[in-house]
Parts: sequence; structure tokens; C-alpha cells
Amino acid sequence: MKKIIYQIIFLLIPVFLFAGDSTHTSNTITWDSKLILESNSLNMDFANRMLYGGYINEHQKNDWISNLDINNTLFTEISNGITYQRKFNNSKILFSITDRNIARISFTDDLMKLILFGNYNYQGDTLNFDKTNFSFDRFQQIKMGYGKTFKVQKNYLTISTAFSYLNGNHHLSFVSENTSFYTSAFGTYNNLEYDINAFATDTNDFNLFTNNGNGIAFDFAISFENNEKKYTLYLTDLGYINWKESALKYNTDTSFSFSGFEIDDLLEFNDSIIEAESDKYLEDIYIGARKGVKKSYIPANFGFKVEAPLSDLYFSKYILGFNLKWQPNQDNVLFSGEKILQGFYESAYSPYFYLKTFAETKYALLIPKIAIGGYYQKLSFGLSAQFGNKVPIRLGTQHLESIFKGKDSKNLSVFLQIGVRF
Amino acid sequence: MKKTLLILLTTLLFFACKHELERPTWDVDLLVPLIHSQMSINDILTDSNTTINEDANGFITLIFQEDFIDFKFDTLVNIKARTDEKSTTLDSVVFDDVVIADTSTIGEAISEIPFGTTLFPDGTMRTIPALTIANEDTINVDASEYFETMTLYNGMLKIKLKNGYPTDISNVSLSLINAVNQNLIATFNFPLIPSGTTAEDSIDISGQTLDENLLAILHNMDINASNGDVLINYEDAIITTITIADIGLLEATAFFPEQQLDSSKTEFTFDLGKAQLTEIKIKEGAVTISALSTLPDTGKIIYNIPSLRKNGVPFTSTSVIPPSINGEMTMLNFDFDGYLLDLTGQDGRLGGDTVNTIYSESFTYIDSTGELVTINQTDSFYSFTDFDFVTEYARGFLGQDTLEVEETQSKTNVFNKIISGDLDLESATLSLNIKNYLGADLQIKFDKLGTYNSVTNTTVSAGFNFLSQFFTIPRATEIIGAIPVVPSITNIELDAKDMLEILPNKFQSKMDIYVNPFGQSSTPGFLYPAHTIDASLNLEIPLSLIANNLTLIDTNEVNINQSSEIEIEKLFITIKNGIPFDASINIILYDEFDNLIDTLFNNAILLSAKVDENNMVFESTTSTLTADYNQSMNIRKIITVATFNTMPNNSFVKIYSDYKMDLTMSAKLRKTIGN
Repeated sequence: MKKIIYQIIFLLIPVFLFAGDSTHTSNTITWDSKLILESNSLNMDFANRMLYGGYINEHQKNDWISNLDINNTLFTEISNGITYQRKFNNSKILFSITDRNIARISFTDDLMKLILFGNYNYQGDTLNFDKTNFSFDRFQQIKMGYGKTFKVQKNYLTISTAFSYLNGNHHLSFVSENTSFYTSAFGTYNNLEYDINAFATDTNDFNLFTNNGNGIAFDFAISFENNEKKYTLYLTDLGYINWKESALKYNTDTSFSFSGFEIDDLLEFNDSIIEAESDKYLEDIYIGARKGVKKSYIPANFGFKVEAPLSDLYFSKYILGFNLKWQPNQDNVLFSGEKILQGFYESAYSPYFYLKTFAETKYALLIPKIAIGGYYQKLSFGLSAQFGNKVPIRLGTQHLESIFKGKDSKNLSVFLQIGVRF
Repeated sequence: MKKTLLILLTTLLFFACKHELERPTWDVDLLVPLIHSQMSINDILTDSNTTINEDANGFITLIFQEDFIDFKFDTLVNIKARTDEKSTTLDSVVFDDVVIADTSTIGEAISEIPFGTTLFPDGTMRTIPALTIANEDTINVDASEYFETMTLYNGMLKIKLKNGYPTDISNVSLSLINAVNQNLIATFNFPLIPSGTTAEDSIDISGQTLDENLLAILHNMDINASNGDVLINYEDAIITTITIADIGLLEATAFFPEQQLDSSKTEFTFDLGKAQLTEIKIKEGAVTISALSTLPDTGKIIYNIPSLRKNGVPFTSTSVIPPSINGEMTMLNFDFDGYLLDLTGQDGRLGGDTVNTIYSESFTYIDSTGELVTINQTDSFYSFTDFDFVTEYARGFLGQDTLEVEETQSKTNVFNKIISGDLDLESATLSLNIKNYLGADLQIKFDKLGTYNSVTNTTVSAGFNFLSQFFTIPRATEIIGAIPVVPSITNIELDAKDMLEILPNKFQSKMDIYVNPFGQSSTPGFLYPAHTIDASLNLEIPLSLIANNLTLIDTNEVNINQSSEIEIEKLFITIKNGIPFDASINIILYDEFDNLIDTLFNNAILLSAKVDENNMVFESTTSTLTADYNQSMNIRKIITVATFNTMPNNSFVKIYSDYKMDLTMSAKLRKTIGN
């Protein structure tokens, strides 16, 4: 890892040297911090309770359950990064280092019912936990990019590309495609059918920056700009991390039906019999862990946007676009159309449409935003404000409505960007 | 400045009011099956002494089996006896004759005459004149190689003079005295001993004490003149032989030679009651010879039992009996495991073979050490022999005998779980299964056989017809094999329906067993003590019955500890009943001090399986019993009281092996997650 970092620094030295003596260039160093928590069903009350403890009463359970959809997603990302960008002539280069922590869980309402209430109230029902998955990735992304603008007649065509090296620290994932749990009337038997693919990196080493895997990612964008509008098609962070073999890997596909510990005489059972029988059952359902490698994908963004100036009294510009995320849970399909669809579907991210406008005021540049889709799936409002020009500071949220909804809000988003232009 | 303030405020937003992370808690209600059991009527009724028979249709007959008779033929199994008790004292000791000889040649006599050898040269013919030898010559009689001193209660001193001279001798007078104290032992006189003849005389020396050195004193001997010339041969001699014979010792200090003290060949007849055995195989056992020797010399005993053989080799033994110290006996043990003992007596005995008799030979010796020892008349050698055999088998006539079996009341647990109600059986059979492993015919007559319910004080007898019968049990057959006996098996059956419907808890019986009631058979008898008479009482109860409020109670010791993490709120017992019984069930829980914890189920109704017009089950009925559960105590005892009624009422219902009851106990559990 250190060797790689030294090589990158060595490559960057000429860039910095070049940055210091040109009047035809502009350089920007930006610090980005981002915290986002989005769910299509779970609200802040749930998050608060889970994070800060306390007793969950029946009212809260019912409230949370009533807000659930059939399929539910909770996504969170905390990232901090620094970016250097240099524009010169018709080109630009970019270098960034970002520390990213991404977690996502998708589950059915049946799973949450079982967790919160138990199975007593679901006698005779089959609770489905299909497509339940959880993943957590922590890694550092070191990105280098280059873009160039070409003048085509009176228009401009900009092509940008970037490659990232991903230093994987920790990964934890759990994927179950088809899982169901049945409780018969009066609990005469419980039947669990499940398939599980789980993976955990070395749990003996929780060092934040340990190297448990390596990966790459790729960015590509193309923009076409005429006098009035700028159209951009982009693909960012299409990449994966190969986790090392030191990790533990679980894989099973089975069903387990339990109708009680088998005994000869109902009245002649003791704790010791139950202990012995339970040991036997545990042997049956024990999932053997083995060492193995695993490839996990980081969430890639694919989108299109249109940017155009406005001659409005308040707004100077707008951006209209949509964004998709691609992140398959497993690397179990070869690259194909099916694989592409798998990544979009399993990302649990609905197509995200948004409209941003830019309003320049005396003190700040305000950027309100209205959007629908994403992990939240519903209509959301964003707002950011940028202060300053030479040292711009941008502070914002993508879910302004969460401030008003309080504990009923299903999102939490805040980002801070501090830049230095020179 | 504003920017700085903005940065500070923004930074504060990220780090202010940080809340400690804690785990949430919540309660869940779980419904889980705890235990499952599928019980057929076989499982429900299984007991240690219950066998369940099924016919081709799966119809069940319960067979209860209990041991009934257990005979031990102790007198034939363990044979103990003491024999050959004897004491051998010194007066019975045989001491070999002491023989001492002295030779007096004519050459020696001539040499003592002045110019004798000149006048009577050797090899010449001369006339011997008459001579008288009266010089009190002494002859040393040295007996030291035999004894040092010897006091006799019996003995003869014999003297023999052989006249080898060529002329007669006469008027021979000599005495024998102890050399030390000069005590005269005996005096002998011989008037004439012609040439070439021998003269003998003896004298009783009982009461005399002899020393090792004796002197024979020649008081007078006349050599008669020869009749003319005779050949003078210097080697011609008078040989004097002194013999101490018939020695009976009061006390002696002597070199005792190895000599036999006692010899006995005896037959000993064991007391085996009325049995007349010809052979036994000894499973384990020993013969112990106990001996006490006060002799100062080592004793030896040779003990043989020619009729006791192992692999064809008769038993012989030679053992050393050391002098006793402080009167302690010497015990000689001989392991006779696996020996075959012929009990027909000595081979070729007068009068032919006998029975129950062992033949043995015993020889006791003084075993010489070659040293001088003093033996007194009071010294003795005492010994006896103990037999202690456990027989592997015995052959012969076991005798004609009557064994009285006292009245017994044997408990039965067949119905011990039933506390009340009526049981109507369609049929029931009580059979006595008797396996006779004896090589003897038997007859059994019951004086009493019946059942008894001590709770209701009700008795039912087998009846006069049964009790008046004699049941003959044939003898077993002996074969070669691991179990060398094929028993005869006899079943004595009677209708026990009435006897069992009182739900008895005891069987009452009294009987006589006649051994060889018809006398001795031409077929040899035998007995293998490991297998004598096995008699079991078998109850065969075909499960075709009517139960009317038949109430069973069952107590089970359990060890169920409550978990502090999981709270059981409710228990469910789901029963798929495939048995045509209705049941009312009470389950009561007790703690370790027999304090009532809870009544889990109180008259919970379990529905009978559905039956068709033939009273055959065609569909199970599911019942779920629900109970609130008291969490507070640890359960140590569960008492179940169940009252059964067969369905339909008042009709005999047959129970088949495929009638099953599927039971699942499940529980509603409340668990707090996050604790």
C-alpha cells in the first residue's frame, strides 16, 4: 500500500510543479465531507432508537411497520475527501483521495415484522425475506482523471475520464435471495428455507486503513455544449474491489424444519435432553465458514443532465437530469445485459430525477433542488449555499424536508465543501 | 472573518452534542416447538417386563412376563466335606533294623598263640588241639551311623554266630553292654556250634536304652580239637552279627531315614441328600489338606485322587510339611477348577461301582534331612482334607424328592399406574412357562394360584379345576454345545380374564414340585446348576377392551430450569390422536420439595380418533391443549392423571400397532432482545 502511495505522489510532483507558474491555468483544491442516510421506509425515529438505545414499545413498532413497503432500503454513506483539479488550456486534470464508508441494507417488511414482534402473531403465515441483503464497505479511493475539450464548429465537446485505485479496508456482506419462514398454528413446527452468501473480511484486524483488498474504478463523461445548453452523459465509479483470501466466506442453500426436539416420552424430558438435542440440531444448521476471495462492487453512477442558463429574475441557471446507480450484490453473472440489469436492480436505487437551479444573491449562491427517486424514492427537496469565490464554501443538504419532518423523516443528508482556487 | 465564523459553525455542527451509542431493547413473542414425540400404543405401554406382540394385522397383544420360580439345588451345587482326618504318632514309626557284623578269622586266633604261625602255617594240614578262649575279649559294636541314643519301648536284640572254623566251637558266652555306662543289655550262651553251622539267639530289649557305642564281651569260647588233620585256612572266620530289630522308640536321637509314617486308601461318600451322583464336573473348587507335624524333621505327604482327572490326567500331589511352629497348621491348597470327579469309588472295587463316593490315597513320610534329630514318642503328624466344590454339572440320579414352594405373594406392576375405573377385557390368558433344564422328570401341583388387588381387597382364584391338576414336566435332554442342555418347555395356561379385570397388584401362589415322581429312569440324570428350572408367569392380554373412566397416574421426575433470558408465557400441546380413546388429562407440576407449582392442564379434553363401523380408526383427531405457564419455579416432578374411555362406549375396541399419537409441545416465549 505504501509503495502505491509513493508512486502516486511521485507521479503528481510534476503536476504541482507545473501548477505554480502559469497564468493560463486555474487550480482548485477542494475538501468534501458528506453524510447521507436515506431510506424509503425507515425514519429517523428508528435510526435514533437503533443508534442511541432505549426501549422500543409496541406503538413505535406499529408505527415503523406501517411505514414499511414490501421491499425496503436503507443506504448510508459517510465520505471525506480532498480533490485537486487543474484546468489549463482546453484540458483539465484531477486527483483526489477520498475515504468512503458505504452501507446498504435491503429487506422485506416481513423480516422487520419478525424482528420486532417475533413469530407468534404470524401463525399459519409464511414470512418472506427474499432479496434480503446487507453490505458494508470501507475503502479509500484514489482517483486520477483527465479531460479535454474540443471545439466542434461553434460547439464544445468535452471528454473526461478517470481511473481510481481502491484500497479496500473492510467488507461485510450478507445476501439471501430466497428466504422464507413459516410458523404453523400453535407452533407445531417452524420451517426456514434459506440461501445465504455471506462474507466478512478479517475480523481480527479492525485497523481503519488496513489493506484487505484492492480494486479499481473507472469514470467516463462526455459533454456537449452549444450556445444555450450543455448536455452531459456520465458514468462514475464503475469499479470493484477484490477482497483477499484471508476473509471468511459462508455459503449455504438449504431448508430447515423444526418441530421440536424428538424425544421418546413427552413427560420424560430434561434440560440435558434438550441440550443434547439442540447440539445435534446446531450441527445440522451450522454453516461452515471457509476462506475465499470475493469481488464486491462499489456503487456506480450513470446519468444524464442538461444544464442551461436562465434569464429569470431569481435563477441564473438550471440543471435537469437523472441518475441511476449500479451495484450488484454478487459477482455471480458474467458481464451481459443480465448483469447490467442485475446491478441496477440490486442497487435498490430508483431512477433519480432532479432539477437544480442556481440563484445568485448578494451573499451566497443558492442552489435549490427538487428530486424524486433514489433510495428515498419519494419527492425530496435539496438546498445548498455557496459562500465566497476565491475560497468557496458550500454547505447543503439533499433532504431539506427532513428538517421539518423531524423524527418522521426518512433521510438525513448534509454535505460540506470547502475549496481554494488559485 | 465571516468565513472563519462560518467554518467554525459548520465544524461545530459536525461535532456538537454527540450522543453515546447504546443498544436498544424490545420484546418479541416467539412461538417455537419445544419437543415432539410420536407415540404408538407400544411406546405408551412399554415397560421393562412388557412385550408387545402384533399379529399380521398389527393387532396388539400385551405380554407381561415375570419370574415365577427360582430353584437352587444347593446340596448338589456346592459340595463341602471334611475327610481323612487322622493322627500318626511316633509309636507307629518304623525304624529300620540296625545290623552290625564282626568277623574273627582263624588266622587272627593262631597269631595270638606262641609260635602259632609256625606250628599252624596257612594252607597246611594240621590237627587242631582243644583250646579255650576266656580272655574277656571285647568287640566294639559301633552304631553311630544309625543313632546316638535310643530308648525302646519295643525291640529285639538278635545275635547270630556263624562258625567258619574247620572245627567245632562250644561253650560260647558273650554279653552286650553300653560302652559308656557299662549297663548290661543282654547275655547270650551257645553250648555248641559245629563247624560250618550258624547259631542264633535273641532277647527282648524293650525298655532298654542303647548308646551308639556298644561292647560285645566274649566271656568264653572253647575251640574243640579237630578230628585229625584239617586244612588250616587263615581266612576261615567266626562271623558275629548283632541285629536290633522290631524297634519301637520311646525317644531317640538318630539319623532318621526317610520313612513312611502312614498310608491310607480311602473312599469317602459325600452327603448329597437323595441324589445318587456318579460324576461331577468341578466349575470351581479346591481341596485343602491341613497338616500339623510336631516332628522335628520335615514331613512329606503324597496325596492322590485317582478318580479326579483333568484332561485325562489323575490328580497327584507331593507336598512338604515343615515342622510346626507354635502349633500352626500347614495348609496345602489344590485348585480343582475344571476337574472331572468320578464318584463311583475305587476302580475295580469290591461289590462294583457305587455313587457319591470319592476315592483318595494318602501317604505321609518323615523326609530325612540327614542330621541327628531327637524324636519322642509323643511327636505326631495330624492331618485332614477339606473338599469344597462348586459343580459345573452333575450326573447321576438326582433322587426322588418333593420340593415344597411356600406360599408367596409376588408383586406385579402390570396395572400399577391405574388408580381407578373399569377395565373390561375381551380375553386374557395367564400362562406359566416352565423350562426344565434338569435331567429329571417333574410334576407340579398348585395348592394356590390367584390374583389380589390390595386396594380393593379383592381376590380371584384360578379355580378348583386348575388347582386339582398335576402338571407333568418332562426331563431335559443333554447335548454337546455351549449350553449343553435342551430344556423341556411346558406351558400351563388358564383363562385369566376374571383374574385381571380386578386390576391386581399381586399374584398369590403355593405349589409342590415332585422330582423324579416316577422313580429312577433308565436315562441318566444330570444337573447343570446354572440352568435348573426357569418358570415365568406370562400374561397375554389382547388389546380388545372397554375402558370406562380408566384412570392412570404417572409420575415423572424431571429437571427443567427456567431461563432468565426467556419467559415462557403459554404452553401448547398439540395432539394428533390416532387412538380410539377419549381422555381427560390433568398435568400437575411440583417443585423439588413436592410443593404444588401449578396445574398445567385441568381436565383438558383429548378427543378420540374417529372410528368406522368396525371400530377401526380411520382418521386422527387433533386437539390442542393450552395452558398458561408459571415461570417462577423450577419443575422437578410432573404428575399426569389421565382418564380414558374407549370410543364408542360399551363396545370392545381393538388396538393396533399403527395407532399413533403425535404430540408436539410448543411454547409462546417472550424474549427481550438487546439485553
